[in-house]
Amino acid sequence: MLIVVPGTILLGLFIALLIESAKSLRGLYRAIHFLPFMATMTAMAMAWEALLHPTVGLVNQVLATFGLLGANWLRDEATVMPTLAVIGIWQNLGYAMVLFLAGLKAIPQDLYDAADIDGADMWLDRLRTVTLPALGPATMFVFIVVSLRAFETFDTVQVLTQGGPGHSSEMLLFTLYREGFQYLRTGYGAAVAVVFLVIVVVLTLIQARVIDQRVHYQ
Amino acid sequence: MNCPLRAPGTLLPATAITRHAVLLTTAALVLVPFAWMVSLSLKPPGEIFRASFSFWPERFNGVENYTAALTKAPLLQYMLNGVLVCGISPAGPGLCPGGLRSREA
Repeated sequence: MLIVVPGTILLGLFIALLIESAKSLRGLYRAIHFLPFMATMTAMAMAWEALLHPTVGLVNQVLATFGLLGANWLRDEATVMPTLAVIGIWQNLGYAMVLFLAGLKAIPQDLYDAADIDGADMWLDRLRTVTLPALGPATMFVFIVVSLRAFETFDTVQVLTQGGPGHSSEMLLFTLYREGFQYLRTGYGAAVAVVFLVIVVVLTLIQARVIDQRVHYQ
Repeated sequence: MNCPLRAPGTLLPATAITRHAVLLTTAALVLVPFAWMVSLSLKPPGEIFRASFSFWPERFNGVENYTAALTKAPLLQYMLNGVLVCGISPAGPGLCPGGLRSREA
């Protein structure tokens, strides 16, 4: 999904940088933001369904208090994919954050000292010249893992939309499951599985090539 | 000197407050579905489908809900299944040749 990957990476990086920038309450923030990743997605999908309910859901009620018109988020072709994407970001955010935190910890202090001597005084300079380049491998890894997780979105589709309305929220793995096990079209289902496998392999190969050659500095 | 992107916690007060404000906001947004789930678990059926919102139920139905959750299914059996899966799955990679070997950089 095209929204989930950049959304997760940017938000995860942003939160990781914020958490790492000072010591106070660091553990609490880390734990809270990681919680969705630990939770069972099927169970959380039920909670999201209640939140997104068109009349009694919290989302539409909050929008109504601000005088905005809510939407029937999961039953409208225009909103169903963005809604699923937001849930995907919500779920993967913590994972990206943890990976970025690990990446931040691995940046040697000498790089910052060197940047200091070279005149990188503002935090933005340091971010641009040291932090982001040094996070290259972590970013690449997050990109691959989150893309794979976005492709294998299944629980939310199964619980919330069943691929509907129409076919607007059908995802690869959901189609596989439905064709193969519910409609018993085993050949079609197997073909979808092969396509899925190819995507996974290609992404992993990209990771192996790019990570090892392009994003390392040592 | 103020170094927001370095490890030591030496932020200017204004920066520190902004950091907390932003992180608390995102944390609250992240926690909304969990809070909502807990809230629903305490409500009687009639209050769940009411158009007005309140986090705490008017009639506390938590005892009934949780009793039902713990007794209507053979929960102990399910937990035992979970323990079995947990005990077996970490052993899997260990048994594969090279499964746990880390990649050389």
